[in-house]
Amino acid sequence: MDTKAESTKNKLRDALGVIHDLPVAMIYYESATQFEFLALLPQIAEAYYKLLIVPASTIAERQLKTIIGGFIRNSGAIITDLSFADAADAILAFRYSPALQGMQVQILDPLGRWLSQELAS
Amino acid sequence: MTSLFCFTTPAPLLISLAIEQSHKTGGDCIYVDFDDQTHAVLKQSQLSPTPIRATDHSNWRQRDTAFKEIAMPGILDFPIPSTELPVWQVISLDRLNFFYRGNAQKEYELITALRWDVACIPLDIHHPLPWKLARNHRVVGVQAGPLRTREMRDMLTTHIHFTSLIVETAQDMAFVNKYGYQSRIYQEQTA
Repeated sequence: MDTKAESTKNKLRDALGVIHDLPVAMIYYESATQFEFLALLPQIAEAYYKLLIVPASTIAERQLKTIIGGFIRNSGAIITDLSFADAADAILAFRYSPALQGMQVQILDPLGRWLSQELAS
Repeated sequence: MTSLFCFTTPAPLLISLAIEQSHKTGGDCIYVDFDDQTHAVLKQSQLSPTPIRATDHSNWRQRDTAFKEIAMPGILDFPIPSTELPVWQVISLDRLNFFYRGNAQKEYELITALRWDVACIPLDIHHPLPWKLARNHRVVGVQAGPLRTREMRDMLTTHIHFTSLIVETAQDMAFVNKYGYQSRIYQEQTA
């Protein structure tokens, strides 16, 4: 990673109160993918020190607070938009979304339930 | 030719189109909305929508029965063994029932009682009304959120007969064209 990108990343992490050297993931969360999110959360939480969760809508945000409010207080943070993406080491989503276009996103849709490959092409 | 703009959601593209059409036709447009929040957004955009509020006065039993008639015809009409509780009543507690709107039929009847030639509806996956209108009338579909999703694809592949679709980007256009729809990208008219 070049120095400028590194510096941006560190500044964003400072703003979020996240330690510089530990692994951080950003998760784009849509209500429709609640099942995949909950099923994979233990694995993801084990691999990353902090999860920055971006809800796709206000409904998704309310839902997140209801289902994993406690977890978010300890190991995550809800971020209102994708502008903090540079603070993360990886961006994760559970299906293809046009909102993530142009970003390097790891789509976790192994069974193809959401037809991510078809929709992205 | 009177256009009906059916705002189940205050989609920016549909609002732009409504304003443009109003200018083009000298106001020969009807705008309808279904909730107070959408109504307020439309008023801010200088549109004067008619509020359609079809309150559902049925009780839970009537509502569940109506839901069953639509979503669960026939095969679940037997009780759970050793009880008098019909299976469909238990099953209907699932998420499909959660999204069922008992008043959608009434809203549909109120809208179709108006005189209009073509309806512009949002491609709103969260409301049944636009899709019901599209199945039975001359309708232009307008993008109201991400199109390239599994649920939109599932809706569009049921071959609903839109006169045309108005979308935001070239990629959205390529996506809907793949399923045999006629579409165009919305371009704001400059004065």
